[in-house]
Amino acid sequence: MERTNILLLGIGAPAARLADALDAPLIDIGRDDLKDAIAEATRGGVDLILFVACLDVALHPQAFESLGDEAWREGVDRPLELMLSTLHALSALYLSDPPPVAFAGPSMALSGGDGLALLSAVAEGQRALMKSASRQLGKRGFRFTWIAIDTFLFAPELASADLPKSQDPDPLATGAPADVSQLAALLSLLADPRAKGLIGQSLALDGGELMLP
Amino acid sequence: MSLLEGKVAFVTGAGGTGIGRGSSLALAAAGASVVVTARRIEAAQKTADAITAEGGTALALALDVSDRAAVEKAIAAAVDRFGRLDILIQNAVHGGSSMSQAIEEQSVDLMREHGAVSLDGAFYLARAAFPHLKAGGEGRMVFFTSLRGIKGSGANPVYAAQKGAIRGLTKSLAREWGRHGITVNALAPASMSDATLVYFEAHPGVREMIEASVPMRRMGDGRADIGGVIVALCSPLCGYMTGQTLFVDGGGYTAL
Repeated sequence: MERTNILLLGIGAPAARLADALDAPLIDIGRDDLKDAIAEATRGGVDLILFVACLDVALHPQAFESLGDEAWREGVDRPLELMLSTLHALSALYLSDPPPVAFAGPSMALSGGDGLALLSAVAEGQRALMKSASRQLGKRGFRFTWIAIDTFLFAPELASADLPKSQDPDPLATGAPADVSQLAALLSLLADPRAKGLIGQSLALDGGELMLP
Repeated sequence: MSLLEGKVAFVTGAGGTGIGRGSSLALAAAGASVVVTARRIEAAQKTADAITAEGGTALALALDVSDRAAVEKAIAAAVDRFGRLDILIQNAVHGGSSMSQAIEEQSVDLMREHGAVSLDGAFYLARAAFPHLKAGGEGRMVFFTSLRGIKGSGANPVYAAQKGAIRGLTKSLAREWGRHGITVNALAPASMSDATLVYFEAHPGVREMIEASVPMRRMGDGRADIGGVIVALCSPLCGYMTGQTLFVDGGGYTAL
């Protein structure tokens, strides 16, 4: 199987870890020359762009009432703004034939979590923005999807967090959590032009735990 | 006895003609004392006067929810006046949030300006209200989200993103505050409001298109349709429902 060329656009520890695990170059989306940097990195062609913007403050469970204004701004407002500016850069750069773009966040954000208001708020905000961008830019060939990655694969920091507990004694349909090879395989599928009908969708890569309604 | 007798509610964005005002009137009619807030005191007072005229109890306050100190002061004033706070309804949004724009035209500055009301305001309010909601033992927090926060919006990406974020906040707060007896829910309405009126005027034919797509064949009424659900959500009848997004839209969205 040919290697899928992935470019990771992101900020925060999960983006850095996924770039390492997928052996993909990472562009910091906080830089001022983002559009030029993407242009330079994709000069030789890219099969798929993976976007991950989750700042560290959102990855440490904290009682809501003790959150400061700066934590809210860093955990929620800023990553949403960075996603919008990244969409601006992509829209300006790709006047035709854009590569597919997968946005990703932790699977727990779909359910929420005790002490994790920042994480679920920013992920659900990004997911809604992904859908809106799909509706607006889909006709120009942009194909956006959301991957809800197994929480511990996305953020091992959350190993001690009080995450939503399954009411099923055997919660994982596959019997094991998702791993990075499954993520790489899913990204390859999304990169395939034959998947062009898949747009605006949320895909949970979580061993079959959530099975979204 | 009325469903909300003895309860105290705090409603933001309640000065117009839409769901904030409708919710305030419905809560008061169900027996709650209502703190009616709006950016302009005249608008808040108008809703408060309508409540008083019906025999209810209301306090009007001017409030810009994007101002943290003002939010904390208003919550304190509500508790000072009525001695407790049981219900918080966050309805305030930026006045320009319903205007359609291409994603390239929606600048980061605009996102920040709108988010200061929709997101930062929700954060300030929830944080300031929490100790009071907890103290009462049956606290109720309701955020207004939107179908656009679920389906996305080709017309207004920033609004959709911020309404999506509110759903994420709702889910985590429900999980965090459930142990204190506090329920946290989000409501996605399809109702006439100041914002929808502006939108419909700017987009001829949209209202008719929406109404034709809704099984009930009409837009909702802020008091009768949305306010009624708000009252039920805030009553003991719904003490076991939390973390949910409720569509009060005449059956317009049934995909879940």
